[in-house]
Amino acid sequence: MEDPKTRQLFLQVLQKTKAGRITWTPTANESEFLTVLPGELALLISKTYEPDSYGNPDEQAAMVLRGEDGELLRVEPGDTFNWSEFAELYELARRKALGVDAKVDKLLGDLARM
Amino acid sequence: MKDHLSRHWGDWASVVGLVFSFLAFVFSKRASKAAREARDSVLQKSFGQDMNDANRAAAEIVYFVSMDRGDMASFRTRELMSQTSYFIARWKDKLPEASKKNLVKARQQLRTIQQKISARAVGDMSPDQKSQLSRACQQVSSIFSEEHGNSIRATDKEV
Repeated sequence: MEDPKTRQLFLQVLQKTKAGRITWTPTANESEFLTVLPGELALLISKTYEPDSYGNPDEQAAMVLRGEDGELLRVEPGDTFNWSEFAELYELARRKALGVDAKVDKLLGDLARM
Repeated sequence: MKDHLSRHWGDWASVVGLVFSFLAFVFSKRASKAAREARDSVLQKSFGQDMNDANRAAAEIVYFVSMDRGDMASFRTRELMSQTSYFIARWKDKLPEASKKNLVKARQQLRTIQQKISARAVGDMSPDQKSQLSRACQQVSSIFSEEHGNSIRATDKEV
């Protein structure tokens, strides 16, 4: 079931991440990234590979909104946002959290001097 | 002059009264400002002490993880998570937005650290997983250290 408010939240986060107005941080889980939103809320985005009943890796992804009292929202790609939209946000968050662009820029500079 | 004073003593008394009232108003304003500054300074020191204690606890978590002492790390993480919730509730009206965000980030990092430690013994983690865990613990320690530093700086400015 599509939840318009959650979709709006997702699109706002995607847009503000693209604009560089939301900063992402790595967490203790290598495939999970965190940002803090106004109102003392934490937003997590994660992608994991759990084995299915046949033992094959099954991709699981979620966007989770947490407040003081715990989990407020947990949304998986589906009706509210599709896999491709989720993958875009996840990749942007990952790149920002790990500082990928800055590191690649530095590497390119170093390579140019070699 | 005497004649003028004897005729207008009431007017002069009013003027003198007005001057004294104005002076009393100015001094009471100053006293109130000084009291407010003293209270803010005490609160700032109290917040600084909280952040210093939290920084020590976070440094202990970093140490326990490095020694593969998941049980102790887990115990301290749960403790610090509760304390951080208390700090957020206690100081939310006094702190700038950036500090509040920092504390919420620390609490969420601690929650993820706790999940990670509960799911697998630190000693059984791959080097990459352990390194990721250590970095998250280190980040929590840095957050409390930064907030402690901010608090000291704010106190120094008042002196």
